Order: sequence, then C-alpha cells, then structure tokens
Amino acid sequence: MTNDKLEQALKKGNRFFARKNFLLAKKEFEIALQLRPGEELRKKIKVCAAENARNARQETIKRGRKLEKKGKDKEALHCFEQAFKTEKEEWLEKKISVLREKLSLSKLSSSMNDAENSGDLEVRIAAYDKLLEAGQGGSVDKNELQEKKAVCLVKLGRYAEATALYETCPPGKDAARYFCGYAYAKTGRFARALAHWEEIKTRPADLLPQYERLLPFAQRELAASRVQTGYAAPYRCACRLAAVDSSARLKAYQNHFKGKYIEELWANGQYTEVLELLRPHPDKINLGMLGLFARVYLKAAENDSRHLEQAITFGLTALYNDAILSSLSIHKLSEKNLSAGIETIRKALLDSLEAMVNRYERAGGLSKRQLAYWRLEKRLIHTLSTLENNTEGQAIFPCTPLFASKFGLSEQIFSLLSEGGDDKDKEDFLEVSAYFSSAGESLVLMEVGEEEKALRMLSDNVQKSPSDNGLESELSAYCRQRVYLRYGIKKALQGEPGIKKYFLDTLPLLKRYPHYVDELTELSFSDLEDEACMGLAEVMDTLSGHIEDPKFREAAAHILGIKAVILRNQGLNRAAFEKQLQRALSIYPDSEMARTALERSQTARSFDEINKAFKQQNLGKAVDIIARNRDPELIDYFFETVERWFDQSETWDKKDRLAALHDFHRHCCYVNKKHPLTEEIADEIKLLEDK
Amino acid sequence: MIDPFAILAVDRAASKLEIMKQVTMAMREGKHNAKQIAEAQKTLFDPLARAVAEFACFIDPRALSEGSENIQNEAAEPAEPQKSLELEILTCFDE
Repeated sequence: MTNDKLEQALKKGNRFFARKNFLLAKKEFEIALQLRPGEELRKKIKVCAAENARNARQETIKRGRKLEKKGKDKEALHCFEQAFKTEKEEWLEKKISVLREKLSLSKLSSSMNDAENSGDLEVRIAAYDKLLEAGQGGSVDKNELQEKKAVCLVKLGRYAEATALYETCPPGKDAARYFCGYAYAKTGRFARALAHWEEIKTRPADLLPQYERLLPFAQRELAASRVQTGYAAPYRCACRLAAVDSSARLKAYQNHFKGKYIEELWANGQYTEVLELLRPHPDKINLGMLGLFARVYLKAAENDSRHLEQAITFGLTALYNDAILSSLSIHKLSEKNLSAGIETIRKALLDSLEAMVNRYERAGGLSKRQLAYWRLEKRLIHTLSTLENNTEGQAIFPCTPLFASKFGLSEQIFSLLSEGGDDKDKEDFLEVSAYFSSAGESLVLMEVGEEEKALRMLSDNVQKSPSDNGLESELSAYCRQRVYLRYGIKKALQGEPGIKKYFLDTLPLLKRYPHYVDELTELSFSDLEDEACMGLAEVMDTLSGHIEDPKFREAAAHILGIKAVILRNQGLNRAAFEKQLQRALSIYPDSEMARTALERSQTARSFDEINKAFKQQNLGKAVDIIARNRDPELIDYFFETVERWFDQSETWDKKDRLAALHDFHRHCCYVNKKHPLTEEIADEIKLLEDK
Repeated sequence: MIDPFAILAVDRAASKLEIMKQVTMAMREGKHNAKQIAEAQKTLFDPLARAVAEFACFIDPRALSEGSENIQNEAAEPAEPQKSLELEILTCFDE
C-alpha cells in the first residue's frame, strides 16, 4: 500500500517535473519523501523550489512592468525592488534608480507647483534649484527651469545673476527674451538688451516705449566702447520706432545708428549689407553721400559684377570731384602741389577702377551693356571735366550723365553747359550737352546697343516736348542724327533694305563732323560679310550724291564694285554687272576695284565673242574683236588658235593649204605683223610657192 | 588693394611717429608678414599713396546722419548714473 502511494507520488511528481510544472512536482516529491526519505528526492525538491522562486520573480517583474505602464511608479518600484532582492541584475538596478529619481522629481515637481502657487520668488528659486539639481540625469526640461529661475531673479532685482544664467542658457521664448533684455538693460548693457528685445515677435508694439527709453543709453554705451560693434539692434529698434513715430528726435536716432551700423559693416567687409542700408537711393545727393556711395559700390563691385554699373557711375563722379579728393589727407601739400597731387590721386584711383573693369572683361564677367556703360561714362565725364564752365555753386560737377539723370541734375548741368565758354563749336561740347539734354537718354540707349529703344524714345520726346529753343533744338537734332546714323549702320550691316532715309536725315551731321564720314569710309574698306557689303553699298551709293570727300567716294566705288561682284557670283548677267561697275566708276573714276572688275568682265566678254568667231572659222570677225580690245591675253589666244590651225593644215593638200595659209597670214598681219607666227606662216607660204 | 591703415592699426590722421610705433608693434605681434608691414609703412609715408589708400579704406557715413549732431553731443556728455534708467517690467510678458 505504502509502496503504491510512493510509486504514484513519484510517477506524478516526475510527470509534472517533465512538464515543468515545478509547483505540483514539488508537492508530489514531498509526499514521496515522507514515504521514503532519500537524497535524490531532496535534490529534486530543491530544484523545484528554485524553479518556483525563479518563476515567482519573473511574475513580479512582469507585474512591475505592467504597473509602470499604467503610471503606478510607486507600486512598480516595489515589484522591481522585490525582484532585485532575489537576483542583482544590472538592468534592474538601473530601472529601480530611474523610478526612484522619477518619484523623487515628481515629488519635487509637486513641491515646485506649490512654490509657484505660493507667489514667493525666493521659494520658487529654491524649488527650481532643487529640481535642477535632481534633474542632472536629463529627465527634466532644464532650459525651462532655468528660464523660470531667471525670471524670478529679474523680478527680485538680482540682474547680474540673471544675466549670468542667460549666458549659459540663451532665451528661447519671447517672454524669456524680454526678461533677458531687461536684465541686460539693468546691468548697463543696453545694446545687448535691445538685441534680445528686437527678436521678440509677439507684442512688439508694447515694447516700443521701452526701446525709446533705451536708445540714448545704448548710444552712450556704444560710444564709450572701444570695440565699435553692436549697432545692428539699436538701428533696427530705432527704425521700428521711427516707422510709428515721425518725430525728429527718433529720425535723428535712426540716422545716427544707421551711420554707425554702416561703419561697423564696412569694418567687417560686409559691403553688400552696407548697400542694403543705402537703398533706396535718395532723390537728392550731397558730396558726403556721393563719397560714401562711391566707396561702398567700388568695394562691393570688387567681388560682384552686379554692382559694377553703380560703381562706375558713383565712382567716376566721385573721382572727378576735386572737393572729395582734396578732403583726403593731402592737405599738408603746398597749394602749388595740391592741384598736381589731386590729379595724381585721381589717376591712380581711375586706373584702379579701370583695372577692375578690365579684370571682369578678361574673365568674361562683363556684359556688352556694362562695357558700353563704362566706356560711355568714362569718356563723357572726362570730356565734361575739360570743358570750360563756370561751375560755381554747383556741388557735384562734373558728373556722369547717368548720375545726373538719377539725381535730377541733368537740367542744371545742361544750363551750365548752355552758358559755357568757348567750346560751343566743338563736337565734344555738343555731345556732352546732348547727353544732359532731354533727348540724352536716347544716346545712352544707342551706346549700349539698344538703338530701337533709342528711336522710340526720340519719337516720344518729339511728341512730348517739341522744342523751339535754339540749343535744345540743335541738341535734339544732334541726338536724332546720331541715333539714325548708328541705327542705319547697324541695319545696313544686317543687309536690310529701305534704310536710305536714316542716312539722308544724317547728312548735316556727316557734313559737320567728318569723322562720321571717315567711319563709313573705313567700314567700306573693311572685310565684311556679303550681306553687310550689299547693305552698306546701297547706303554709300545714296550718300555719294551728297558727299564730295574723295576718300569717301573711293570707298563708295569700292563697296559698289564688291557688291557687283557678289551679285555676278549669284548669277547676275554680264551687262547688268558691268552697269553696276560703271555706276561705281561714275562715283570715283579711279576706283581700282571697279575698274579692274569692269576690265576683267569686258575681257571675258571678248573671249566669248572671239571663241564664237573661231567656232565659225571667221578670222575676220576675230580680228575685229581684237582691234576693238587690244587685250594682250586676247592676242595671245588668237595666235595660239591660229598656230593650232597652222599645225593642222600640214596634212591638207597643197592647194587648199596655200589658200588657208594666205588667209591666216593676212589676218595675223592685222593683229601683229612681227609676231613669230606671222613670220613663220610667211616663210611656209614662200616655201610652198617655191616648190 | 591692401589696407595699410588696418595692417598697422592706425587711424586716417595718424602721424609719422604713431605709424613708426605701430610698425614696431605690428612686427612684434606677427599678425602680418614683414613685407606687408613694410609696404603699409611705405604707403602711409607717401602722402599721395596714402591719400589713395585713404579713399579706398575709409568711409564717412556722417552724410546720412542728418539731425543726429545733438544726439552725438549727448553721447559725448558723461553717462547718466545707472539709477536714472527707470524701466518698468512689462506685465504682458509675465507668464
């Protein structure tokens, strides 16, 4: 019976053990142990007990995790602590540590909330400190706590501590920025205070009175500082203020800080940023501004060709201004040397500007328009500087036409030129005056290759302000003729028909200033495309009826000759070709080109005729052609042909040959009695007759 | 163009003596090489070369500071005592 019970207990125990149900297995093994104590059963019971303890621990950890998930940190901690007692695992230790810290922070948080609700700033600071200390592991928003603490410090008047805190933890929210700025203001760092305040996005209007309060302090602070930086924020704050309050005082502050900020940017090499501050350009400009604009644009253009046009306009105007150059540190030079000194400085600075333009040009970074502007502005301001005028009372003289147009000075400069001295007959005077006249812009457009726009502008100008005034009217005509001439040449070189009218309108200009005639002459002798030759020939043909200059007429005949050759190559018949050449020769009879072409054409024609005569074996007609022409090539050709026939006649019978030879000899005698062939034929006739 | 004024850390009105002092200083500091320092000194000792450099290296934005003379005069006066800055804390930023 006992054995049966023992057997049954062991059997059950082993089955449970195999199924890993250690709880029931242990129970059966204990029954069996009571029935028959033994070491083996004890070992099994021990294994079961250990396995049961392990399972129980796993269950505890599982429960702890579930509780943690539910946010029951305290209960979860208890579970993990229980589990840790049985086995000291590293992860469990960390888990317990984190949970304990969390519970502690939670407690601190709760005490912080209490402190915040209490309204006592010192208590709040202490609570923040505790929390910051406890949160070294990074489980708290340190920045937020520091910002809160800093606000308390500011409110307590502990500004130095607050700014020290802000140094380590820059404000991230508008409220924090405000208190940070406030703390800096209260510690005498006004510019820095404004720098924080100007970043505040919300409620900027509330801040404006405080900006205003701080501006004078910031100004004093920065003026006393050895390092001239920090003007950006005061300038921007002053701008905001000036935008809502147009008082002279605020405007003055804005201007003051703008100037200082420009100096700061200049010192840092931030020229493009300076340019931003100089925009929009004022309507009126004084010498000081001119000097400033010129220097900034020149510097900016060194690295960015987009600023080159402005650098040219402002730079040239400033460099030609004696007042600007004499304000440099050359006042120690004697009066006598001063003038020469200014010229030397001007030349050095102009060379430097030219070198910059050339550098861009070499690098291909210069548009045709920019290059044209440079050449135009440089030429005109130089010419203007050489004209004799009374410039008293005119602060900015000379200046470039674009500069004058930009700042409304064109009329003044034009008046000065109109009153001018002895230069009125020179084209330089007329040209420079024209650029400053109401039609001047058309010349600028023409120079930069926008002739069509220039034409449109001229026609608009005539409609808007038809002028009867002497000089104005003369300049208007001058501009029109210049534009017509340039447009006409451009179109002629493109081979466009129907452009004669532009040149006919230009005749007064061509007659008054021969260099334009020379230009056309030179162009006609240059190496041109067929299309350009055709266009130019038409123009030269028209103008030759009005211009007597022999060189010009020779050029006209030359280009007409070339046109005739081009047309002949394109299939023009010989008669029309020769007519064209004769027209060229009627313009200039000594035209080598036209005459040679005509002679060659006539010779070719004679060859054709003589060939026809030879084909008909009509030596009499051939001789007539030669007699008309007397061309050596033609004579040679005649004798070559007769010689061939003479050779062929050797096979003929005597009678026929003798008759033919008499005929050959007679015609050869007409052409050249002393030609060797004539004599050879005579000898042969004699020989035949003697036989 | 090099900025001789910046290399020698002198202002546009610096005298020859000041320039010489700064040359010695610049040599000691070693921020610029001897050639640059010598070139800067040479430029500043030549009145015309100096004027050319002055044009290129200095700006005067006073032309823009219309009406700010009084303000600049105020800045030249001794600073007000710190306590004179009366500034209320704006409550709108109080969270």
